[in-house]
Amino acid sequence: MPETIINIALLFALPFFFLGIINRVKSFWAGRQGPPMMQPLRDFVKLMKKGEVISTTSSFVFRIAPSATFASVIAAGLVVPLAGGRSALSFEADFILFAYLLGIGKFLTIIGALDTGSSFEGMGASREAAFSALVEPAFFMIIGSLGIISGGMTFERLFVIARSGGPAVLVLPLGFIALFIMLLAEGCRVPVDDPNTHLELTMIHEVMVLDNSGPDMGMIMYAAGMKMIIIGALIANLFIPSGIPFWASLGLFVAVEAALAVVIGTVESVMARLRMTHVPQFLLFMTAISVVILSTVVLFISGGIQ
Amino acid sequence: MIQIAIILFGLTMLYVSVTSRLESYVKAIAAQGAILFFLVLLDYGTTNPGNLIFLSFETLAVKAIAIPMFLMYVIRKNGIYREVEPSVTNYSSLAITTAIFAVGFYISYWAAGTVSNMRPFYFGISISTIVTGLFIIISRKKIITHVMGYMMMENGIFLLALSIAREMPFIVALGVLLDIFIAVYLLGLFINKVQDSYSDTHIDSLAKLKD
Repeated sequence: MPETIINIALLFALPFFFLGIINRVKSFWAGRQGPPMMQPLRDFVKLMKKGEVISTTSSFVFRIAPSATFASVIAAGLVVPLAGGRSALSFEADFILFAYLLGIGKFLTIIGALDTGSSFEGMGASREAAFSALVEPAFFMIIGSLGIISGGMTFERLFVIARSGGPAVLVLPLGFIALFIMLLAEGCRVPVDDPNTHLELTMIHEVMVLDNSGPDMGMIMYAAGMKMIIIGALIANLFIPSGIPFWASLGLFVAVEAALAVVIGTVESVMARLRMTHVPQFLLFMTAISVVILSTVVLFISGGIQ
Repeated sequence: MIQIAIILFGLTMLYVSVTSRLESYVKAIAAQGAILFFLVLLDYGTTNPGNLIFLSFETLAVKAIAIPMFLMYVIRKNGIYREVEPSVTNYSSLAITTAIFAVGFYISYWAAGTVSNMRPFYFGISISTIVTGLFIIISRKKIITHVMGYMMMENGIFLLALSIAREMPFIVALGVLLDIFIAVYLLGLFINKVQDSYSDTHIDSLAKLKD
């Protein structure tokens, strides 16, 4: 029980640190001092105190979309295993619920963007929908391969047994690459999307929230950070060995998330955003890797790899 | 360890099918040569040390260093435009390569059930590499990418030879080494292009004379 409480606390606390570390790493590479580590938290508190401007063309959909998105991301975070390989809620086939909770979040953001009546936001919504559709099959192929190895049907068992299995040595590096691409795509980071630009023509996620302000904007930022923590948790679970004490596992979990933030910050510093026509290729690369993972696992199960 | 090397070999093919710079092709070929070198060292069970020395020298010195350097030299020397110019989009190219990999793995899965003296994981990746190399040859417009596609195909054949028999007779090993054939290709390209570009540079120098 205390483990569950710690995990839920982690889910709520880590997004601020994650965004803070990314910003610090980016400023380190740029040779700047950089914002303080807790700046995302301060931004969040500041936004929560502000009022809101709501366009007269928008309906109730626009008003409920950010909070509902935030809620769906929190729900997804409860299903995913965090420190110690334990998730707050665990039941058969919870990974399907996880994928579609993230899907609901995206759907609400998209209809919220369409509801403003802005053509820019419609464009962003269409891109977001197209790119999410490319990420989803790859995610299920990876989860399916883990399921074949472990025979488990819940997130927790999927990862616990997958780590100890024979083809794990092959699945882990490939799974890391594929999930990292998913993290960049879902977290709307460079090279898929640039969280800093506010040029409508080059944006995917940022353009959809142009009309949001105040507490809604705060929740959108928080939800984006939390989504990265959740997908980072999937990566962390690939690497953290099972059967170690909870506290050690907790430390490793936080360390892996911090390392991921450093890697993301470095990636953002050393490479530019991909051209819009190249983003689908980047995402399809994830699918290609997942096909290789799935094929490898099937070959292994058939006794093909000695 | 060996499996990871083979997986990396497969990943280079996926990367080649989607990247749009000639330099990345050359780097991928060099990486493939290095991976083949490690595979020969780790996995090539032979009784003849001369054979092993020859093969490791060939993979490291020729495949991983000499040919990529010469390719870069040809690209620079002839001022070849650095984009790959595929005739299909990168997106469909990657999709087709993924499908080739899936089919290749399926074939090796099927073959694993019927043929006993074969290692399916090697087999799947090498079959996919050969077919992908062929696909790169037919889908890219430049002559130099054709040569590079052939080079990758040949690396795949080398891997296939390793997959079926751990120990190759010396003569088979020689037959697999099509690098010399490639070298002839490259030299022909080099010499022809030099003649072509002679007039080009000529025109350039005329333009320079004007101002």
